Amino acid sequence: MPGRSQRRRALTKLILKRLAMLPLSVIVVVTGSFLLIGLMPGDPAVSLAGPYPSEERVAAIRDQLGLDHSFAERYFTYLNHLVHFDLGNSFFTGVPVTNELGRFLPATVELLIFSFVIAAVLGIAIGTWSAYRATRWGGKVGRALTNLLQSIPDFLLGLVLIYLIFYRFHLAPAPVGRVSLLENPPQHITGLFTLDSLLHGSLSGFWSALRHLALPSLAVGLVYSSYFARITNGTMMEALASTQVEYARACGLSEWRVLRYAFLVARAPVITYGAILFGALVGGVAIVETVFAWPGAGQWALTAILRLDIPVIQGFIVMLGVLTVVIYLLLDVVVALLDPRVSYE
Amino acid sequence: MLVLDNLYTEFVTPNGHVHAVNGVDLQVKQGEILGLVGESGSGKSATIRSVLRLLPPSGQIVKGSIRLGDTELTTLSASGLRQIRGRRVGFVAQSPFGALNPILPLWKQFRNVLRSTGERVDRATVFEIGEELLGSVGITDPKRVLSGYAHELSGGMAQRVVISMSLLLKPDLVLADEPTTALDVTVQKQILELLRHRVQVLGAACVLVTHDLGVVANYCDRIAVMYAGKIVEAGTVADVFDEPAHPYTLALLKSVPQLGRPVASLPGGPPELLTYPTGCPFLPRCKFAIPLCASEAPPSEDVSAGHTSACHRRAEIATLRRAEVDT
Amino acid sequence: MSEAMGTALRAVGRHRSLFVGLAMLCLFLVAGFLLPLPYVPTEPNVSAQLAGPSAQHWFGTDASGFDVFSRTIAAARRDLPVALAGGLVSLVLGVPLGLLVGAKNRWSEHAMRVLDVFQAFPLVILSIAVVTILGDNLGNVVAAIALINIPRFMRLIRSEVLSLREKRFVEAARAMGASNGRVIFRHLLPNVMDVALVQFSIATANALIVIAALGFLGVGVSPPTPDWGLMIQQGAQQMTTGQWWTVVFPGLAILAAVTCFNAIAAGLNPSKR
Repeated sequence: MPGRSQRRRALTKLILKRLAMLPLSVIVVVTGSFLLIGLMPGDPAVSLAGPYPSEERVAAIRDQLGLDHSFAERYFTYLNHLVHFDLGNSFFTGVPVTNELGRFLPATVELLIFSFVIAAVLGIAIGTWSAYRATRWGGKVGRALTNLLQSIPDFLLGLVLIYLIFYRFHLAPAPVGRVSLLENPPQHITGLFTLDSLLHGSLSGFWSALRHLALPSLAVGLVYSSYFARITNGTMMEALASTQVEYARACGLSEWRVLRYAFLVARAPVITYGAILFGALVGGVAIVETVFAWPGAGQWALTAILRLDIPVIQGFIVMLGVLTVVIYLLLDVVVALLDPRVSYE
Repeated sequence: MLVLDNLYTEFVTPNGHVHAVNGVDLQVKQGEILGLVGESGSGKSATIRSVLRLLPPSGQIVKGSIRLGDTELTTLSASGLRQIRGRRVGFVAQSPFGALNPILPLWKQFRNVLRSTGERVDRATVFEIGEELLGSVGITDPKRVLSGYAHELSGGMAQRVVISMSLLLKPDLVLADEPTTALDVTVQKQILELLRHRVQVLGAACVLVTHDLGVVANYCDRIAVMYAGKIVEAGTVADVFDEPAHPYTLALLKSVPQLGRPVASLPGGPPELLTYPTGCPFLPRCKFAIPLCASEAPPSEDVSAGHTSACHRRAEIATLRRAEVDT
Repeated sequence: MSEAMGTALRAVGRHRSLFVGLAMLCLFLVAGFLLPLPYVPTEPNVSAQLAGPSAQHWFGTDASGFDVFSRTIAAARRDLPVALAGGLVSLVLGVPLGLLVGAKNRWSEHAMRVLDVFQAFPLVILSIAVVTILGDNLGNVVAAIALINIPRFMRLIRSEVLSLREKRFVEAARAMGASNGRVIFRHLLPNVMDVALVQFSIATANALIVIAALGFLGVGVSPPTPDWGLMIQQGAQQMTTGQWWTVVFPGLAILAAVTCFNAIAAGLNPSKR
């Protein structure tokens, strides 16, 4: 059995190895998306030219965007630009994709973090509780609640929350985005309004950002808590029936301690699932972003898809690819750190 | 120390009620090691678990009493039960890796058991107590073991740790559920020796559940044989082994492999316990059955002082046995 | 006679969720297709815009004057069959493909890896992309749903097959000289069907949510077609001004339909009592 410092060295090696694979993964993602988009029927130049385009207009756009070059040419040009961190310009706004990404991504990340925390805390709590009270009413209520939450589309929940909490109870601000219409956002440091406000020492800014985050993160968080609840319920029920829990009880440990023991054994699949969910959420919040006029990467990608803004779509896919690889790396590290049985080979 | 009186335990399953324990009477005195023997499905695990109420949600004690000293355990509240567990009754599990938490370092698990008494113990005290205890069970580097994890240990060492943890709070009664089944044969003897020694040092009563008659012969003072949720024979090891008074015990003794003799096995299997038969549950597999066995369940009665058997023909078993050997 | 009734009732009681789900589904389909609607779903009553629920308009009217009740019921005509079709196509394609990769060889492991990567992609966005790119029609919506769900089917069927293969009856069939195809069809297929049916219900439930999302974004459907998602989009603005009925009623319909499929799935689940 390798010693503990040996394990730490193996872990560092693992991280470095994975990071080295990042460029390769990006290339794979780019190639894949290029192929997919290349297969797309429809001519972006035509849709860009607007209604009743003339031949010359379409040709001019095609020339301007370099759409008449061969597939291979476009592919290698893209890769070349990618190495210089240039993702091209949007067909519609002409703004470099990296700029737009930098502008929209922090908003999504902020929303994601809050939604994820709500989903995780609520979901794990409900899942644990319904596993603990498996056969009695508590468990049935927990499972029914989970099913209910999973059956609601998140944008619908968002709209209902707007009606109830904004319109009816006047507890939340109007769904016009991250700040109220007459407010100024905090000066940019990280792009996360909550964090930036705190860093500038503006408590009112922080509070406003939080209030605007409340409803959209609740909408997403509540729906996705059901996924957490499901998997926690499954693993906890198994853990609570395990011989380890039986022995813990036999030793006279309190039920809280026993629950904690069960959770320690059950948490690995939950964390893994959580990471997958986090990755899925990046695109998953897109529709909620449109409901709340949230200027995030999701609605940016959505708009791009709907009007065939290829560089943006490409850029979004690349970003997703990078994000996924990073998330999975973090996941492996976290799981390995938490479970002393896992080896790093 | 421990008295089970007419205990009935059932499990509720989608197919009906499984009658796992059917009217078990058991006594264990202080300082005595009782071997509880039976095939799988005989109800021995369910009986032990009923004592500590470690039954799954589908299991319940439907009748009878369990007395530990002066305390009636069947009517104890959940918090009362928790006080008993660990402190007055220690449990040694079958598989050490199935008992120890794989994620927590061992010293923390020791600490949690110590803390369950309400006492605040710091890391240093835990190590102090732990190292002494582990040393006394034959672990050579207790400090390293305590700082480490369960999976770093061999089966034998892990079971020693479990035994220490079970005896940490110095209980009056130790329940061991097949403590060596999961271990290598070479290690089994050491572990059983250790268990017996520690139990005697504590002066505790012990119930050793096993399916291995050899273990009972070597390490127990008294024996109780279970079949289909009932105690079919009970007495001192000498009495039961030399003068078995129940056909099932007879068959068990004969089925122990011996050099120079073909292995005699008992055909058939234990009954399914969904509907309990009216007569003797052993009837389908019994060579000595008489019509009475089908209609009346044999009560457990003395064959000689301290030696009981639940068989209508208990007095004749000795003769029947000799007759069989001759044929 | 009464004994048979008793047994039947007990069977219903045990499979409560299945029967409730099926009953609700029938109700939806019957209502959607056969129920006489008080108003024509595509003819607005311009004089009664944004009227609250009343005796004349049970669910109120929306911003264009359409009767919400009639449109909610009529939308079932579109959304439910599309969801069912999506689930069906996923089932019909996913199960055979899953059987095909039900082997422990490298080829199928690579295939599953590719599918894993595929699944990591946000699925609603994927379906939007598919419909936008391939064209704004129902067939493509079904295709998009199938695209999302087929990998899940394959993964599920594959793991079932892998565990079934270890079982004796496969060995026995082989020993008796059954060919690969025969083994697959006569022995493996019936045993994976129960899991496949559960997945079908779940897939259909998810399909409904995807269809709602597509409708909400106006993808694959255009006014004045009654569609739950589209109705929600059109009523969204009114949620900030208090006219909740334009969104809540189609929303409840979606919720009810999804719940009914989940209930069917739960009832069909062989691992449950």
